Amino acid sequence: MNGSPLDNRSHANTVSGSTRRGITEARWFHGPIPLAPRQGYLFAVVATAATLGLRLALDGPMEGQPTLVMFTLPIMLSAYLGGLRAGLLATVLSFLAASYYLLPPLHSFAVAAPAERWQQFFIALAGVFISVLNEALHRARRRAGIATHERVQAETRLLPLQQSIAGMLEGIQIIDRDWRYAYVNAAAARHGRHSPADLMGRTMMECYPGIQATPLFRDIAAVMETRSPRQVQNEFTFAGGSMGWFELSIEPDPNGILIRSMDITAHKRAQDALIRAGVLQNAIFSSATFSCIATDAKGVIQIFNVGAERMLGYAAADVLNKATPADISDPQEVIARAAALSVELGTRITPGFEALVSKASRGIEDIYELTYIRKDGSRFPAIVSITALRDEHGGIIGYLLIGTDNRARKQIEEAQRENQALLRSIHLHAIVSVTDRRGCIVDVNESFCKISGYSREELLGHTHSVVSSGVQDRVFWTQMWRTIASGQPWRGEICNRAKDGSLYWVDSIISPFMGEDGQAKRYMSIRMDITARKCAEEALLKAAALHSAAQAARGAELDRKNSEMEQLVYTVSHDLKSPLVTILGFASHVGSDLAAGEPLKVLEDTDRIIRAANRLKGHIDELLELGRIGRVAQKPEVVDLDTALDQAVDDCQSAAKDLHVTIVRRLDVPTIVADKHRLHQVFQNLLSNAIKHGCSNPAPRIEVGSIAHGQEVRLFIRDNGPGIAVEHQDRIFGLFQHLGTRSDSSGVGLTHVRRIAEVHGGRAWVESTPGAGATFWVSISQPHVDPATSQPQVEAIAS
Amino acid sequence: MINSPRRPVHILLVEDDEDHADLIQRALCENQGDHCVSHVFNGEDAIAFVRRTGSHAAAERPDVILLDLNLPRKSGHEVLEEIKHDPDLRSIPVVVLTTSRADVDRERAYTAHVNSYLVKPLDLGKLDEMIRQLKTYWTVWNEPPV
Repeated sequence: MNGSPLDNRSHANTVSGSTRRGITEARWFHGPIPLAPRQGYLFAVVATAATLGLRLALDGPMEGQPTLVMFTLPIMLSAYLGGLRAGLLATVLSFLAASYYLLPPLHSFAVAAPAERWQQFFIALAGVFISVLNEALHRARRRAGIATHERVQAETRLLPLQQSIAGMLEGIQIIDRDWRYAYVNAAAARHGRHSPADLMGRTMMECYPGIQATPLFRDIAAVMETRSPRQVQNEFTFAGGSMGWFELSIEPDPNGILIRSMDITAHKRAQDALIRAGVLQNAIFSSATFSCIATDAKGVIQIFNVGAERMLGYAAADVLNKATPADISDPQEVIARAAALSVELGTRITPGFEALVSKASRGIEDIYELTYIRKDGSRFPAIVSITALRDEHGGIIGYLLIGTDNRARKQIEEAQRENQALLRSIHLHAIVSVTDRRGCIVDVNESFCKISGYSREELLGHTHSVVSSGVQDRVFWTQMWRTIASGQPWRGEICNRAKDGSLYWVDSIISPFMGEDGQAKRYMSIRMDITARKCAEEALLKAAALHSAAQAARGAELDRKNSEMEQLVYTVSHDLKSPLVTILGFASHVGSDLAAGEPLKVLEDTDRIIRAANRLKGHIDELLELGRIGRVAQKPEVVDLDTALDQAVDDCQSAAKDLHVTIVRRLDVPTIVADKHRLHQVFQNLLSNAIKHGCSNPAPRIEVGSIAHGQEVRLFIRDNGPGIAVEHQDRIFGLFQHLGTRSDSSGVGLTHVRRIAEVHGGRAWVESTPGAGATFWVSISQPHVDPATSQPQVEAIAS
Repeated sequence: MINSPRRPVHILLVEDDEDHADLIQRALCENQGDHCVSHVFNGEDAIAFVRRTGSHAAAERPDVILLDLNLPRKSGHEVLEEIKHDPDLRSIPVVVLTTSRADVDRERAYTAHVNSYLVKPLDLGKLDEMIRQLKTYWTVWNEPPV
């Protein structure tokens, strides 16, 4: 394949060298036999005659010895120079001359010796042979000359073609049936980002790994198989990442396939750019947001695009060839601009279109704000860019005015002005600081300095920990930082400490400013002083707390009362029902006992009924009494405890005597301020209780006493009886509670004692160790003693 | 079907009110069925009786307990709870016999796994009737635990 006429460049050079030698050879072989026929014949005669003459001249020195061989010389020359015929003529003449030499008389024609005859015959035969040979040689030379000539001509014609193939822009490559590159020109190699030497002899797959997976390879393989040509456009991505567009013509070739490739990247890009430019141009001209007005050199509108129509309210037909842009602009502005430009440019500019384009016409970039007037007379601000349109010689052929609606910018400017005003107000009323993303203060306003007591210089570069009060905990600050670092504003109430150590409260809003990296760049904190409000709130909270505490206390008291009432109702209902059950039970037996003729049993039944009824009455009386203790309070008075005890002991005298009880008094406090009647009840109940339940000891002893304890007097009654188990110690003060049988006690005495103690601002309780007696205590709250009179203020307790 | 013959049913009556105790015992005697009654007046004695401690060391285990709630020294509720918490005693059927119809009493008694809760009726003759039926139930119909 390397021997193909379409080989690589080096091979082409070789062809070129051989071509030059071929031209020289062609000159040598070119043309017919050297002499024309007549000249040949003449040459044969002359040459033969000359040879004869030479022979004759040599006859003497050679002593008549016929040397006929020399006659071959004119034959060879004639045959060579004159061709076959001249050669044959020279042969005949030489044969004759030789025969003359061999024959007598002068030289007889007769052949003297057979050897000479052989010479004669040899001359004739050699002459014919040489002539024929020469003729054949001449013919061969001629054919060779023609062939060489033709080849040289062909090569001469082919040379530029080869050179152009080797150096052409179009890539040419021949790929054999084994997918090896058989020929690659420089362009093809360049297209493949390889050198021809890299590719030659290697397979496509070796040179371009992965090519088999591409659609292009499928096209190439299809041509290789089907032998029908294809044309494709393909975008290659090269190893380095660069890309390029190629148009490929894939054709079958005797060796395999021939691929002609053309780099159309630039074309494609140009095409794309053209499309984009077209789209852009189209977009601009069709855009409703740009007004594009093109005029001729005098300013008469030639193009009025959709945007201009929409912005200005005119249809293109209304203004084309009829108006100038100055006609649809604010005339006052045009006049003012003309005046200003006259000064600026140092030449008079007439108000009108010239004022609009005078700068652009001077090649100065010109963008300015212009107020357009719509068809309906309304105005709107536009930013207009003016460009002068020039021909190839630089002469102005028109102007292009591209305008954008400036209202949005105006609105933004207005908003900015409002924002600035707002900011000024904020700075005036609020405490403002700005920090960097690490929290270091980069700016503070006057209010901040004023409330914190720090100067601006003392705050800048520091974090807000300068004013930290420590009131908020770490969790509070962590949550704040988490919120603002995530880009969310944070609001909260913060307690700060001023330089003088005083605390102040601020309602803070911290807003992050996010950077392009998505991270907070700055934090702005706007605070309002809420110290006064906080103080008021705190006072309110304290008041509320007090109030709720009082409420709670009242509630607890109410709950306690309710609970007591529930317990009372429960107990009463139970203990009042109990005698009823007895009454009804025995009443039901009365009839049957009578019927059975058992009058004693009837009497017993009746007795039981009466007792139960009495118990019921007693319960009711005791309940009424209990209620009275709480409700009716006689005026407290100073009671002599000794006297009061005397009465109580008298009441229990008989029972005490029966049991041989010793009653001992130990009155540390001789008098007490109390309701005298209730105090008697207390002593009576406790004494009878002690005598009844605490005198199982063989030497029963009851100790009665009083001791002072703070603002109260404590009365006690101690026995040496069996004592009371801990679990019963509170229970025995309950209504209708008793530790013995119902007949032993009413179960109300201790309840009365506790109630009386409570009414006197005290309490009643029992201390006892089972087996070691019991001590019942009653505390009675005492009024303040007036040092002047040494009299207790008894009214106090009555209240 | 009545199982007979069977030993007399031993009833422990826990009642602090002597009148009530008499009424109950009288009603028990009126009805058929063999029974014997032990009577204690307070909660502590009731517990001592079923545990056979102190003065009740020789007491026989009762087949059923009639328990008043409002008792001196240890309330009926405490007695019931103590019995029902004791693995050895909890199989003894306990019938509460009280004048209280209060929710709090009923709830507490049933929470403590009382076997029956009876309210002493306030109608003429009804107490007798109730006790008679109770006796029939416990002495005739009820099968005691093994």
